[in-house]
Amino acid sequence: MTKIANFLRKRIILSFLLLTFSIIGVGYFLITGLSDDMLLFVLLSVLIFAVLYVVFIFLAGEKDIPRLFTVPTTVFLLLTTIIPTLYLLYISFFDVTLYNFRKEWPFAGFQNFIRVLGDQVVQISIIRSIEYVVFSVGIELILGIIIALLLDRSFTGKRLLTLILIFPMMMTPIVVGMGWKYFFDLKNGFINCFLENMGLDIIPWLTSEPLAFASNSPFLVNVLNFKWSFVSMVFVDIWQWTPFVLIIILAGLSTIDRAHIEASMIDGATYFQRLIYIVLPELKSIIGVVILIRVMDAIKAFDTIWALYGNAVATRTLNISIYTFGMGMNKFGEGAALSLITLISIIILSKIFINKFFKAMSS
Amino acid sequence: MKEKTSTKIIIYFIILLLAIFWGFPVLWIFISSFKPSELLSLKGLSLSFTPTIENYLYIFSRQPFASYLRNSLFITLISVILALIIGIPAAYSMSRFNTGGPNYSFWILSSRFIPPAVIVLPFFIIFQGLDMFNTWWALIIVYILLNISYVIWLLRSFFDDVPKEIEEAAIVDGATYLQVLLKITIPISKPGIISVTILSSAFVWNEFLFATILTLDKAAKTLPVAANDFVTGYAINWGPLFASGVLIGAPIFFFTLFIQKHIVRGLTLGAIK
Repeated sequence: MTKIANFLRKRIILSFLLLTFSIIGVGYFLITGLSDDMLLFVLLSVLIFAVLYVVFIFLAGEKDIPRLFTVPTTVFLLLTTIIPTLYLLYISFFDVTLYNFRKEWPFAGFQNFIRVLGDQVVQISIIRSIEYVVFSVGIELILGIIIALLLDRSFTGKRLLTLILIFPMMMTPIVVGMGWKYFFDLKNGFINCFLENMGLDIIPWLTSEPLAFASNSPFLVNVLNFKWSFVSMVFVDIWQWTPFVLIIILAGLSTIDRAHIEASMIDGATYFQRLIYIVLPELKSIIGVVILIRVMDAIKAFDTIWALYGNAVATRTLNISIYTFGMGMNKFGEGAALSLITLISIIILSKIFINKFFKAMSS
Repeated sequence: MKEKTSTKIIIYFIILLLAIFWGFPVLWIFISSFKPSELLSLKGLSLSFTPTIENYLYIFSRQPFASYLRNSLFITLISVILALIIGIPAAYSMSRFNTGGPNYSFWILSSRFIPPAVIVLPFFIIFQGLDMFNTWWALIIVYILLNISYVIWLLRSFFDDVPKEIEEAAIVDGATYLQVLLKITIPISKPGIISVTILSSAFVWNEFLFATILTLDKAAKTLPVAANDFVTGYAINWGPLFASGVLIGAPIFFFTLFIQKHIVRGLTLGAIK
């Protein structure tokens, strides 16, 4: 008995997890006899976990505390990422729809994967998503850096300007999308009204009108999305997130040692030489962080695109495609297959990104 | 170094352009919310109108907007507080003892890469099975998941700033790590914790995708979903849409004023101070 007690005391985290989950497991069998209320069961489980956790914090020796502190995060993240992923894996091999969901599911093998990857709308939506990330992050980065270099000085109203720049990114994305849908409107949007008043041609925002230079090439228009509808969605992202790049680069510029720059000026370096040999190398790690965070968010983009176009076929990104399979058409099996493919690609991508930017983030 | 007046004029011109480009659309939504509904679908930039609050009255009279407000408020508060309770000890442990090393902290970060659209389907089905569909709890769990990596990374950066000497002195005096965390680290990092709270609350407050899928009616529906409801298959009811947009945005704008100092750090998960 004392041997087991000693063993468990040494492995405090293991014993905590064993005890908690066996109580919850036994509790599950007891409660299913009494009531069907799963919500009650979940809330009770959380409560049991919390109470036992506090008890163990007080029982544990000081050297176990650091590891014990990370247990709730680890358990929470594991439960909320592994269970949905396994579930995705499971239903992606069956022909599940909303209609046979409560009945029997026919086994589908790899049919769901073959069907979604063979779907031309999905293929183009994958291309569109990649382009969306590349174009919006690329343009935001260039624009943000250029404006930051121009604003890298003290001027009256700097605080106010920063505040104006912060608002777009703190705004509700769905409202941003709706707002731009209104501004882009061909009839009553302020952009086209303004262009008309200036005597310019109106721009067919939000329509599938091809861009002038690409209009002769069906490949550019239909596969690579050189259409105003695509430009509009990238434009909204650029409007919302260029300030992000700008504000962070500006903060980075203010940390650069002025002595370096002044020394180079005495040596007669031109502005562009200073920029290329001193300023940009100093900003390298900050630009890395900015790219990392922007790519991370651009991959996730959903709300603004949804607000602009809903699930219109001609403007679907990968995220919208996934949503349409699963929630719009209620084809759970195919939706799960596409989700899983995306999830795996993103896990690989995030590994590459994290390794690549590891130094930038830790410095 | 004195700048030439012409350069100064050009710089101020650029600043003005930036302020218009980023400020005007926000302002235009605000102005439009006070326009009479008939005017919103008319052509032109008409600015000559009598401001009206009919759009605001409309959203409160035609919709259970007060219930949506309550849902949004409680879901935001509970999920952020729970994320802090789970995240603070982990962040402290990672900051002081480097628990789990870089692999652990990057594993946490990698959860931030997952696009919500990818995990919507399994959560939708699982929460149906757990009787949690259309309740606060489903959204609260999802929002903790979406926020936890952010909370931990940012808090860790704030905890890194707390001088180690103060904590070491307390430990020499016989305090436990838990006491140090509760009585020293958290009080010293209060401004940081407030920033984390505001920024992660803003995220939850604004979230649309999960809220639209996991809720059905006034029992759990949140404000962004309610705003989107003004878009119907036939027409978009612009006036009430903008009015609800302003109501959703107002508290965020207000709180942003307080944390402007920490905004760069907040936006970069603490990577840049």
